[in-house]
Amino acid sequence: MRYLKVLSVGLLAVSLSTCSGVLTNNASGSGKGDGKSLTLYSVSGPEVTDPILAEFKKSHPDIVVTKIALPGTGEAFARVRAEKDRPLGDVIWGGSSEIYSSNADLLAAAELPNDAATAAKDPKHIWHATDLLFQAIAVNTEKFPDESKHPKTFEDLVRPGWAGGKIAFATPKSSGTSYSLLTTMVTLHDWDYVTKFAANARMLDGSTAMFNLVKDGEVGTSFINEDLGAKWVAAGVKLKLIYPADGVSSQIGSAGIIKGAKNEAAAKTFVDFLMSKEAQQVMVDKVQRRSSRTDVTAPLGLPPVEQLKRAEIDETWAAGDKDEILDKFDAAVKSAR
Amino acid sequence: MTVTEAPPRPGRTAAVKAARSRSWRDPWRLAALFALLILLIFIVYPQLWIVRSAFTSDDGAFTLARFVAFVGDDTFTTPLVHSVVVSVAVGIGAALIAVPFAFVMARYRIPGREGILTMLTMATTSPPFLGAYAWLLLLGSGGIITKGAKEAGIPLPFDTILGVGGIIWVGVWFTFALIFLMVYDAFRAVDPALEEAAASVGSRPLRTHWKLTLPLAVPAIATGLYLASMRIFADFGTPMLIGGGFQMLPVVVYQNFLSEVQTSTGTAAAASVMMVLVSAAALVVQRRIVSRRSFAVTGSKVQPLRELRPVPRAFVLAGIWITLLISFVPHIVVVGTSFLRWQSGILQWEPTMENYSTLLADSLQPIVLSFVFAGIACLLALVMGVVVAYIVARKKFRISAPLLNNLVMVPYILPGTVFAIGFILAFNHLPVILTGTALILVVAYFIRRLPYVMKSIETALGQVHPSLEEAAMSVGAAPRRSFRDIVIPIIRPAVISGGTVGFLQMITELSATVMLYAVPWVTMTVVIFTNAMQPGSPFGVASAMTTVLMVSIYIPLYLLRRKYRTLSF
Repeated sequence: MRYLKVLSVGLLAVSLSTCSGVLTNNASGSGKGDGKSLTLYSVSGPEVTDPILAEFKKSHPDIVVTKIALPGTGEAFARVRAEKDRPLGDVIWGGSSEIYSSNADLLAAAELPNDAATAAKDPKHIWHATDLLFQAIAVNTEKFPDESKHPKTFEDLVRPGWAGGKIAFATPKSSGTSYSLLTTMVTLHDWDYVTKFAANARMLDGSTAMFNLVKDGEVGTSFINEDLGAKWVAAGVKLKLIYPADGVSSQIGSAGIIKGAKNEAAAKTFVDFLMSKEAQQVMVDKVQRRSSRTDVTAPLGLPPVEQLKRAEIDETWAAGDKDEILDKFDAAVKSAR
Repeated sequence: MTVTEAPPRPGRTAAVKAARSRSWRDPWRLAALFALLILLIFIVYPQLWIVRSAFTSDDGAFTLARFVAFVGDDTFTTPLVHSVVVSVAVGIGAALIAVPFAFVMARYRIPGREGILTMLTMATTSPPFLGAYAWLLLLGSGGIITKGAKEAGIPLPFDTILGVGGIIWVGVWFTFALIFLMVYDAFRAVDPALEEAAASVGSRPLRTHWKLTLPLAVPAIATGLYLASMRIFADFGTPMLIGGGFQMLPVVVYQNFLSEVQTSTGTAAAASVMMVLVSAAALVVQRRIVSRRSFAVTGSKVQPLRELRPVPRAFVLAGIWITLLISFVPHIVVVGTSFLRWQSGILQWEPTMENYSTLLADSLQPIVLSFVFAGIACLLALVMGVVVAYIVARKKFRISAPLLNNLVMVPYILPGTVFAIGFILAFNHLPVILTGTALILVVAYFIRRLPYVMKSIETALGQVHPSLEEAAMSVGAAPRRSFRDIVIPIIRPAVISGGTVGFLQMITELSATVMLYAVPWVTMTVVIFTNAMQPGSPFGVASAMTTVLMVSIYIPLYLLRRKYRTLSF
């Protein structure tokens, strides 16, 4: 019995000391609120955040950014919501603007100096535009080689005699990318179009699967965020990006300040920096994403905005009637079966 | 020849009364209450929100409508049926590999057996996050093997691993080692005297094995099947990555809780409750098999190893090594790709050490932290696992035993992310603040991986007839002494193997960790995840970290097994 006793006493000692040590050294939990540090919830990979954080470190050596990477925008807001009574994060960055709008109760409105310089602005100052994402039709040229049959418009995807096989499409219930594609389809065409599209689509659980399936040649046609598509083309994937001529869907990459943030001043400085010209230049040059500002040109390898016909979506409809839109989509999928 | 439990004695009332007054002095009753308290604080209280939202309608009233949907609405019935079918298929597939494998290993002299056993323990963990991805890289429609076979003109029975077949394939290789370890211990523990007796009355070896040895291992097979099936039943990552749109229940739960566009906590909660109910039903079956079956151990004589004739031996060896090779495919692919250049998440066929230099430029603290967190959590789980398993297997406490048994299993079923949200909701305010600390990870690991540890010990206990303890007590040994001298030595192999597998699963825990961690408490899995979270992320660094993780757990594991070889068998 002795060794069991020693073991349990030892265990107790270890857990108690960890307990007290950790509770007092509550690292990012209780930020000091001294304007010198801030906790960032990021939903983008290091390929996006690291170059910009390095630039921030250069221009603001006095503020230490602690980054916590979270699996996705949904997960990040779930964490912020669970921590609502005692927020542990200060800034949330990544994902598109409408998700910020629908979680407005968790975010603090703030009018920042650089808001004025961005092309898209939130009148309520909940979200702040950090980049611009267009979605292209992606064709895998190994799986779907016949160039004359490649789609040029959304319309082409539902034409009789469509030769591209199943089109990968993430369910818009769980993918913001798909949701903006859906609202674009409805705006450019109608719900009848959606039913026809659903008949040609292969429904997937998330946008990552939608991107990967066309990359791996599991399907011939899919949609893709243009920055990722362009990077994959550069890395040798046999992809062709096609911007639909009848209208291109888009999303506004955003950041927001968490309500009740302990380091609110630092958070404002940081989010404002994300929209500054120097940060946006890094966004274009190193991250290869489109800038949210009007005075920074498009990244190499992406067509300039002027060449694209951007679909005009009624944002109040897209954000306000979300449940109805998704219900109609479900109905369209069911009637397509 | 086997000894079964005595039926309840007649004249119950007096006996029960006597037992009840005696039982309050039983220290195990106190232990049961204490264990129950821990589970109430760390399982029931944090996850109560799920139950609440499952029975609440959108406007706040009590409702059962969310469960009615599971009968009529095919957005729920389809995933439910899919999940059950796939879980059962995986369990059976894994058992078909594991049981014969375990039998051969337990009974015959196999060259390199220690190495093989160590590798099987290793095979219970697949590289976190990248494991299923590796299969896709080989057998997807653009995969290395698929393409190679097409170019060489070899017909394959499939175009791609994507889909339900892929989920089952990956699941089988992901779980068979779990069943193996349980069943192997059981085959080893069968008292050779029983088999000798069968032989002495003229039973042929094959018949003896079919009629005696296999039935004696049934409790272990049942528990292994249960654990393997439930692991797949609750697994969200595999269907998400290689399901290709095949709907399964964990994905439904996950998306309704956490999707970025539209969530429905009530629906997700109802689906979670359904999952727990299915698991409870499976648990009833498992308990019934474990407790109805006969006991294998009445003495503690060790099974001798027999020689195999050359031809069967060659077949057996080939089978063993092919099985091992397939189960290590994910590991091999990850190690291989960690030495190749990745560009925007795309593998380039250029050798490089860049991934490692990027990794090493950062702090190596995550390695240490992972070991400390998993180590403490594992010790807690072992103590708790022994206590709970002993109560469940031995003390037929009417209320606390089944309650403990069911509660322990809840975290096994809940997706890690959902489990983590409960933790944040419960422990982000007074009286107990754990969020932002390292302790929340330790507790999460302990609670989330306790089921496996507890189940392996329960299985081992299930094989030992209580008469051994009773005999010790009848000659005057105190309950404590009989526990130490009889029970501990018999369950020690299970404690060691259960603890090892528990530790491996803790140190590779990903889904709860990424929701709960705070800087500077960054573990190895967080580094892996951070570098592979988006399709364009630097996967090479993630592969390198995974390789470091695997090397750092497998080397101590190997040394440990070498050291305790004589002790555990």
